[in-house]
Amino acid sequence: MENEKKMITLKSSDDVTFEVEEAVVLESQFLSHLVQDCPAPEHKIKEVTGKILSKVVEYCEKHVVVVVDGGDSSSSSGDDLKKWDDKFIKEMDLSTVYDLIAAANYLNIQALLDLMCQRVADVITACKDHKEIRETLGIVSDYTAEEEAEVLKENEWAFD
Amino acid sequence: MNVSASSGLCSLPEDVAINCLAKVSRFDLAVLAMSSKSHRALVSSPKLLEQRRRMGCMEPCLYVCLQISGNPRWFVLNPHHRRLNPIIPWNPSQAPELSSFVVVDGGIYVLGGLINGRRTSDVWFLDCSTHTWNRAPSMKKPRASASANLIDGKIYVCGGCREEEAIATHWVDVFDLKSQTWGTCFSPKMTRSSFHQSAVIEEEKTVYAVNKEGEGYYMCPSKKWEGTWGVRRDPFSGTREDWCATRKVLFCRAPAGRILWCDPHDFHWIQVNGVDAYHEFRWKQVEGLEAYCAIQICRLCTNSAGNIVIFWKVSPRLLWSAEISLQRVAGEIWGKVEWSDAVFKLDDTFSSGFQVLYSASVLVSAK
Repeated sequence: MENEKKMITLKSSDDVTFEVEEAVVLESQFLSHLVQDCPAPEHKIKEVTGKILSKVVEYCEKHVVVVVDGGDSSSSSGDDLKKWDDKFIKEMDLSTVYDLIAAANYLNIQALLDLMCQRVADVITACKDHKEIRETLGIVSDYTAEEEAEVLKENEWAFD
Repeated sequence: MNVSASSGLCSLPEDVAINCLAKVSRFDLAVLAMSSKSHRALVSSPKLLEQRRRMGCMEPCLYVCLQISGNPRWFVLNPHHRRLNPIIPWNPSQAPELSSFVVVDGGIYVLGGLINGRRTSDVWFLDCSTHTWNRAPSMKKPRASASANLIDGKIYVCGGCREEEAIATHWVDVFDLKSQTWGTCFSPKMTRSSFHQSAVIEEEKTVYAVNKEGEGYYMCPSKKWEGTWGVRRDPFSGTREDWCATRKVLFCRAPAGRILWCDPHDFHWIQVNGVDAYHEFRWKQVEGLEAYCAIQICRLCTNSAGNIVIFWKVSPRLLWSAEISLQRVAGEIWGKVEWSDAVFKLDDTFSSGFQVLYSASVLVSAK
């Protein structure tokens, strides 16, 4: 019995269910407490959609395996994990990144939160000027022409 | 949970948005602030500054002071585009020539100089994190072309006063950064003529200096050491400019585009080898000329990576720069050009040219 892994079912706001090992759930501080305090077989997470929860589960499953098999040379090494993380974020559009940030924040998964925040930082860094930032991040400017000229002057030191 | 990209960053909980921005450089933050008012507010939020301070965000930035049409103007090197960008506001009270400069964490002190041909005792501080100018307490004596060096939180300013005022007790003034007060210092025995060049070897807390006559001096305030340095005079001391130190070695620029180094203990200058790409550049730029014509480095400094940064003019209006990494191999120092680029072009509206007064790498932290 000891070797049999305990399974837990997570249900998203739009009723998509995910059956995961308990160890995966423990990656999230929020879910750890939830599982301990309320030993039901199924937990509904009203704040996260199925699309985002699937990403969260994918991330946690990948990362928990590494921790469990840490000493095993056949398992993912730190480098492999980093490559996996890079691929994981590269395939994601920005709107998903924001949703995942909110989810990671809510579920309290620090490593995922850091990874996603870094992604946003990298996107900002890759933009060459404020126009490209607006385009990439979907920001609508609310500066008047005069205000913009003034702020531009103030920040001229940072521009090309 | 319906976060769309259009509401993006500003719709995240503030702590989380700040977590994202804390990882972005100050250049990119300034550009982000341009995108909208709410992003500008986010960038300038005290919480972001606090977070960056907590993370120990220190960004090395290369600041350059140019004299354009007789006025000193400050620029910062944008590391992505490798262009000198002007910082605003300018300080109309900064002496246009012969000031001394000292870099501290977060900013640059500008000490003394000549204003309308007269020495000034003014001291200004350029705060590099906010790009604001603050007046600091004036020196005890007006000085120009003084040597100024930072050791253990104190700026030692030597020489540069008028001949009759160069009495022993006033030859060195000391500025305590913490208390922001001026005091005097020992050093009665030291030469009274001004130093031509000086630099601090931080590891030894010692200033090494040379006067116009080529006589070497050192002083180590914490140990009350001072004295002459080097076994003989350096007959070419007048041609070696912009002394600076990194990795316990002194560097300077010399005519014909040469970069020299010397071990502070033997005061014997040797050329840095192998700056090949830079030599190629010299040839490329003088195409059409039959004779070999060397470029002249107009400014040399070290940066936070322990590399050398040089500037040279390609024309009276165009400034180039290169960063050179260094490697010590069996008694020689080899340089490698990491990058070189045109960093500044003077606007045609200025009738006269420009000069590079100063350049230095400043560690800028969240303030």
